[in-house]
Amino acid sequence: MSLPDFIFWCLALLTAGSAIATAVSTQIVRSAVWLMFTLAGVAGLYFLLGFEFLGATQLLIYVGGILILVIFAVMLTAQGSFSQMPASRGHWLVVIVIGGGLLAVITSTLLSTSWEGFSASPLTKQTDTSNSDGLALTFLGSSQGEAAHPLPAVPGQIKHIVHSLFVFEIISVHLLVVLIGAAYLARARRARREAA
Amino acid sequence: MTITLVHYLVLAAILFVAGLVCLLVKRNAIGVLIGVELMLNAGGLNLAAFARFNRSFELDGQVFTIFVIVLAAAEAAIALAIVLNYYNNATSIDIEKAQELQG
Amino acid sequence: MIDPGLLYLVAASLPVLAGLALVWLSRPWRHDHHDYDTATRGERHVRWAGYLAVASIGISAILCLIGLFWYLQYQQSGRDHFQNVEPWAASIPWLSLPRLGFEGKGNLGFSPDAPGVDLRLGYHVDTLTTVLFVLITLVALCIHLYALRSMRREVKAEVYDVLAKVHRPGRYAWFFTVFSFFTGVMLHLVLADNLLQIFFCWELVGLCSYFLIGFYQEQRIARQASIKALIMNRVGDAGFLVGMAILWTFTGTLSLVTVRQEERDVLGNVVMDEGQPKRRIDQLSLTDTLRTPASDTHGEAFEEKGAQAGQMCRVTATRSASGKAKLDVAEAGPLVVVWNQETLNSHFHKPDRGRFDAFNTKAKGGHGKGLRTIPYWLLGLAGVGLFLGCIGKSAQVPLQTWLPDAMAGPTPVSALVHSATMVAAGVYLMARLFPILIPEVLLIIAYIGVFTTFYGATCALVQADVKRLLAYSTLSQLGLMMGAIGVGGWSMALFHLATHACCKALLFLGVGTVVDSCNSVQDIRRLGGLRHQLPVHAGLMLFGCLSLAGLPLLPGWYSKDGILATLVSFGSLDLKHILLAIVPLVTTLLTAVYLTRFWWLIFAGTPRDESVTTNAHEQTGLLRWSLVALVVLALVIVWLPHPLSMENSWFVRLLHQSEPASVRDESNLLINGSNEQLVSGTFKGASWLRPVSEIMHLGPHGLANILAVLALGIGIGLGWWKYRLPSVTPDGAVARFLEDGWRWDVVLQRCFVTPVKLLAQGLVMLDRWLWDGIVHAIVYLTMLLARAEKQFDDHLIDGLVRQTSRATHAAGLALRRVQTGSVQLYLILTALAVISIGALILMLLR
Repeated sequence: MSLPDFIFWCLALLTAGSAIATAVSTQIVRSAVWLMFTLAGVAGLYFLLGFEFLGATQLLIYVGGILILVIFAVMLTAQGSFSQMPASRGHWLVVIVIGGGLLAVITSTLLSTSWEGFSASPLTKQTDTSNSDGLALTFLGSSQGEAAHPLPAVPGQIKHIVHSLFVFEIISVHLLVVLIGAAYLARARRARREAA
Repeated sequence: MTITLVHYLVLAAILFVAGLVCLLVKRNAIGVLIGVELMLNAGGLNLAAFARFNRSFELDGQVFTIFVIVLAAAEAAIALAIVLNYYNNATSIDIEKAQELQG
Repeated sequence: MIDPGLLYLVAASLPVLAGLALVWLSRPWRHDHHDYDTATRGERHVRWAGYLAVASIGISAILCLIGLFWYLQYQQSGRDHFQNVEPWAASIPWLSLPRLGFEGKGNLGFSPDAPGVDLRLGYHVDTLTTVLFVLITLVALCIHLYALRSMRREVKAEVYDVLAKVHRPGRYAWFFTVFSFFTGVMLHLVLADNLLQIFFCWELVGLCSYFLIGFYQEQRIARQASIKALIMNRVGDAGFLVGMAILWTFTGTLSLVTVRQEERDVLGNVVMDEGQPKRRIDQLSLTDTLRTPASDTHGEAFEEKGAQAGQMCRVTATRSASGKAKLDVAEAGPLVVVWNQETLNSHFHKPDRGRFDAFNTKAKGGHGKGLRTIPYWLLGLAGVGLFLGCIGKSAQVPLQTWLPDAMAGPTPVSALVHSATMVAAGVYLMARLFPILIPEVLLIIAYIGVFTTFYGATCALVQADVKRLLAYSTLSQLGLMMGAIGVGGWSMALFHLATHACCKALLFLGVGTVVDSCNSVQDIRRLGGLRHQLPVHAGLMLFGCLSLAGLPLLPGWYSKDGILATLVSFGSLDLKHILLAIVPLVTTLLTAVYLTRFWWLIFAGTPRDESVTTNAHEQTGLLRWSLVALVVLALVIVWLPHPLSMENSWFVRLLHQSEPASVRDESNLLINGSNEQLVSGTFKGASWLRPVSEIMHLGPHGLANILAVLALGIGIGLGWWKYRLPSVTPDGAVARFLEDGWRWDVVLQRCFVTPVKLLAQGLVMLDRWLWDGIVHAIVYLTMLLARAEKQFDDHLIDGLVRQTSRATHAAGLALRRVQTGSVQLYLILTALAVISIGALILMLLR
């Protein structure tokens, strides 16, 4: 067993375990903490896959952003009666059956699929360690990198040149809209309630 | 036994199912939100794995993963705003009680 | 210089306008309004109504006199009245109607491309009009003056009606409103230039008569009499309408005057023909349409064997093989030619002697161009219809019973409306239409008139009510006039109309005074010996009675003598019609008897009922002088310029001038003619108005004169002998029969009123049982259907709708259970679905 494999197993164990813990823990604060571990594990897996930029992003946004938001929300709404709201036993049973079924379906699908053409290969120069230039260029719509390093044709795949500038724009606008929407939704409306 | 794509995909599946379970059992609205985050992460992991194991998806996968992360952030922001709003209105975040859409 | 015709129009319209203006003063719609506070002011106010009415009729009378002299001057200037009528007649188009055009067997009168017909409103003045205007206005003026005084009790705001025993508001203004309006309309009737217009006025005078008979509307008898008069006149007017419709349909004109116009060329200049303006005929009168014209507008005479000018041209129609209709002149053909202006405006060319081209309208020239015809019997029917109108208006048998009842009105009304003017309108109309009446119709008129004379005289013999007595006398005299018209005594009939109007008005006014001074007692049996209290009136009434009875040299004698002479001539020429001679002579005797009785019982002898006659005293002022004026008027009519030569009397000369040409022509034939002509049906009227030398040698006239005077003497003698003692009127079955007017009302009741009522009741039953039954059955069936439909609706349609809604509701209720609102449940189900689909795909792929 090579070191990367070992690290994968460790990280997989951490991620899966803490995800399950997130799901099953009855206290919302604990769930949040377990979620942090799960996110961290996924970030580790990104690193393991060689996508340092992704991993960093994952850590920054999820662990540093979203999780903090969640914890804030928990704190804002944390009143004794809400911190623990256990589901009924029958509910649990149903959910476990469904979860198990879904897992079984997905897993059997995965296992029954022949993953030809999907194998570990060295990363191209664009996504080389500590270098996110290729990604940035892709985002900016430059095809220089691709011209320099033509990608091998994949059978059954339509060759296409990646131009992600449009996606980038969409993300930006989307975020803007979301921020405005969130600010609008979350703003205080005491006056209206009093009036009502 | 080397680590293949399937390992990653199975791990993502476990994550996804965990998220689903979290989504289904939590009566706390924030718990539901956490479940959604888990499911999104599963998706992101899937994309990253496909990007790693097929070179033609190398950049696409990353781009979409970032997309997913951003979406998750946006979703979290909006969802939390909704939750807070609901809390302000109903002084509760129990989704069992949020049944105004009952027929 | 104003139009002379316009003068007459103004004269006729003044009383109408006064009447209309007085409507405001009388305010008939406020009859029940008692305003005692302003009573005295109202009295003074209301007197103006009388003054206004008298003033209007007075001005009219003056205008008529001016018009008369103007007219005489116009005639003396030598201009031919008949060629140039413009200053004396005018009309405006009123309605323009397309001519009914249809062709068919027997309807030879119709030509589809004949021109349209104008109904016109207009007036025309001829000799007859001028004479009658003077007569009507002067008599009306006298009666108006009398009424001014005699109606004075109506001035008060409140009047006690003795007979109805109620207090009621006075109707002074209302009386003069209708009275004045009546006079004006009567004048318009005489002035009108077409039958339709006459008919309008005819109806309007009838309406005024209705109002005036029902003047004392609180009295039941007056109300009934007014309605009776109105209804009986309607019966006659139906005939009038039928006659008018026939004439209008077949001749296309109702005009009484032929309108000629100066022909103008395209530049508007008058076309001259031998120094005279060329004239063309614009519209033909009824007379000129039916009687053959002497010449066309070009002066060419019409010559046709058996068709003399001025006669009706009788033809037979034949249709040639080519479909062309030909008219052949025949002595007694079934058709009468209707001339039209197109024919007369073109030449009387005769391509084919003795035959008319009836329908060859397209042919150039030819005297038969577009000639129409009217069946002879239809012409007679039209005449009978028109005469029926006159029967109603002039109270001839069998529509006479309304006139005695009409005496329920005030005395001036009886004098003016129901003896002098309105009832004479029938005589006037018959005189106007004389030329279009066929001999058979004239004979009917003669017989009905003579019978009415006899009827009226017998009834008058025993009447107890003085006013009813005079009414029957009026009836009798009107019959005499009608009889005269029927036998061609045209001018004598109108002459008698004039003298009778004056005398009868005089008698009525005198009787009114008598009755008023005797506590409103009208029963002749309770009067008597009044000559002491009312000497002047007794004298005036004696004059009236003797004049009416026909004492020589008094006004009535001249006219009555003339009529009798005509009738006797006629009767003696054809012994078949000898009754027409005998009955009037007997009637003369009866007339003398009842008039003697009338005067004797009122004025002579001793009072029978002191309580009635003690308060009577001589009246002066208007009540006397209006009577005197009537006497003077009557004498002026007959005595000027000389009492002994009646032929030179201005009035008779004027009447003689205005006689239609056909009367003169036919009287010529009579005098020189033989019985043969009478037998053959070509009627020949008599006119004794030949030069005296001619007349005196003729047997019938001298005989008539002698017999009439004899009858008068005997009658007076009989009357005096019978009533010289202060006994009462004989009472017996015959007397009662006569007093009830031969029980004519009962006959009418049995023959007409009861059947009509029965018919009405039958129709009511029919209505109630049959039509209502059908309607009810339909209603019932509809309701049944509706009920069935309701069941269908309720159960099937509504059931379907209800079941649909119920099913939908149930489905909604069932489905709402699924909608728990629980997000997690939804998610569980979604996940289940995903799992199921995934599993399915897996199984299928394997």
